[in-house]
Amino acid sequence: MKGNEFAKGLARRLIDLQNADGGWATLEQGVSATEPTSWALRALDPIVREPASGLSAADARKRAVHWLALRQLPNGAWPGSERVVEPGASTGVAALALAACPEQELLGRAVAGGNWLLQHPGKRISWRTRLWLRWNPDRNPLEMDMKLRGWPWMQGMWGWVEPTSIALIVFRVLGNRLPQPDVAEAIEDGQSMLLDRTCPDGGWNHGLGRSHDEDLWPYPDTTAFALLALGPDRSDEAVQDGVEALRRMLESPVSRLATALGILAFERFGQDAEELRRRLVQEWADPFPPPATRTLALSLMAARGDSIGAAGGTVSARKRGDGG
Amino acid sequence: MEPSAHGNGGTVADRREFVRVTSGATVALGLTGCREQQEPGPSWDPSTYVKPDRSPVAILTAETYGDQLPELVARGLTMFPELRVRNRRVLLKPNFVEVDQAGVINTHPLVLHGAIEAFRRAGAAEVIVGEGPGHRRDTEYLLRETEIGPVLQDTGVRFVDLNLDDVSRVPLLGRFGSLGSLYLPDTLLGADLLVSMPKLKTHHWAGVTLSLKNMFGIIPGGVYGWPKNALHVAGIGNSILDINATLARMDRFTIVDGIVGMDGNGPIQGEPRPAGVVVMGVDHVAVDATCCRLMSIAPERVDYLQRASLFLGNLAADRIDQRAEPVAGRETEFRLIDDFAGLRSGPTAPPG
Repeated sequence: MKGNEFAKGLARRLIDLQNADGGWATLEQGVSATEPTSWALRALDPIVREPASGLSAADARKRAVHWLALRQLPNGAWPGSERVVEPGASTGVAALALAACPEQELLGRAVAGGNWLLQHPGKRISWRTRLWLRWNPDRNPLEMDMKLRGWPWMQGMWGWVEPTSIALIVFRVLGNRLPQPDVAEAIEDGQSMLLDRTCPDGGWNHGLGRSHDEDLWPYPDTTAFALLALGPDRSDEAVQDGVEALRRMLESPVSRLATALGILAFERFGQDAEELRRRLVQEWADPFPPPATRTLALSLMAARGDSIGAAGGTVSARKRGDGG
Repeated sequence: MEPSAHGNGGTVADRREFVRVTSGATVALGLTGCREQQEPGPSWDPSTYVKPDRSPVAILTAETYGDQLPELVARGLTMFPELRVRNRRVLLKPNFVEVDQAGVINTHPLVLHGAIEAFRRAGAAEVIVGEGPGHRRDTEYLLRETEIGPVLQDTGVRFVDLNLDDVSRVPLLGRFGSLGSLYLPDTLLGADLLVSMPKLKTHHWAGVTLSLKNMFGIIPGGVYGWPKNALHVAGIGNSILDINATLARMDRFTIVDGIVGMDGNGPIQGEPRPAGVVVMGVDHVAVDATCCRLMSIAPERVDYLQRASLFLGNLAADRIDQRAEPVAGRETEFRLIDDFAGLRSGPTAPPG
């Protein structure tokens, strides 16, 4: 990170926002929550292993790891926050963050989280609905495969694009550390679900390509997450369309979150993102609105050239000479 | 593809099945009838709710969005002398849903600006704007793309993304659905006065979306996700009732942006429908009923409104005192999708 003053500034800001208990709040102030703490850890962890970075992130990382370890439930999941007791989609982000850490004990915790995700996919449609759909194949207004479950935001609900994408990345990163054939089947279901939920013009929104006989439009953030989950090795037309849709959506400035995720997705697909990286610097010059912690952490990862979604649990941390 | 403001609906049976599939109910409930399954037993505690004998509702005319709106909203507030604003923390809850180039999906930024200024002039200790969009997690994008951001910056008002605020678990005072309790944002729970600021719109699942339905936006996506699927699983109408039954213990007010509404396939894919009104009041049921009448919709045929009128507020026209303008002469026929054609007011309408 030597010379990347922009990334250093983001890292310092992130470290400064850490709560006394070691976690991070969703916004700049508030009670610690699993998802922002996990993204913060994910962003800071590789910096710790770079003595040349000139940043002292080791203490922040240690306290973040402690916060997450203390709150992991016996079943492997994480509750949403200090106040939200129910486990949910943040378990995927926590598993992703810990899987990137080199310590075996933390990898074990990530595997436990991955196992919980495997056991808690989205809600299954009832046999009566399946029967109805079989009898009325032309009257499925969703124009999507209702049997594909994906992963939900909350336990017991339907699957949606972002939590499904995160779960898929976790499964790929943890790979054969999770039980077979369960994980292979889960990856197949999740990938099929994402490919089934594309918007007609390419890309993804929260999870409905069409509604009420009309096309719906994609969002940059969910499109980027879906692309990170599906990865560059697929030849599906939907993936290529998604890349093009993301490029169209990011032709002009959208938001810091969209730019950061765009950088991460494009670089995962081997595409140049330097112009977006310069835009990210400009966008952070505007203090409005105050960013969510997740946006800050993902921006830091994007500024550094880190990666999400590569198999093997490694953070590539392709160093950037100068973030501009 | 950008959000469009056109289109038509599918078949009635398709939509009903969609609702059931996505809400977790079963096809075996049958394809007839829109009334939701309600939890057995009493759905509210009669000792908790006292319906007002009469409810004032103000209809103020405004043909365009302009600089007159702070004065218009301020004038409307004076019609409710019982409303306590001075030295209180006021939370304005507009309806931000989508990128809205045509200005017909979201509460118009100038109406929000008018409300911010009017409540400040009325002596509010603090005015806060809070919203938790239901589909888009990237609120920064919505703020930048909808011109809401400049209003927030120009006025210096604090904005809280209610999807990401700290939360506290609150037992629901309504038992229409199976939710039992909900996590609610601390900013909401700390407000002295909650002001619902919806857009005047038809809605393809609920019939209409007004001040009561607008409260879906206070439910934190950070807990329930995008979309807030738990509310659908419990039934949209049931959730509207349970949320509003719980909020009824707060001081509340509502300001409806009906200068240009949306009809047809709302809440995001309908057509702009100018109605030239801003509707205000304390009793949300009475305000929503008045809005229905302005849209040429019979409020008693809107299932959740009819149920709300049993305990939350007044639906009947003869219980509503119209202030400023009357309904008569201001009605605009808002197009309804086929599923909700039965909501149309008038003697020729099918029975509800």
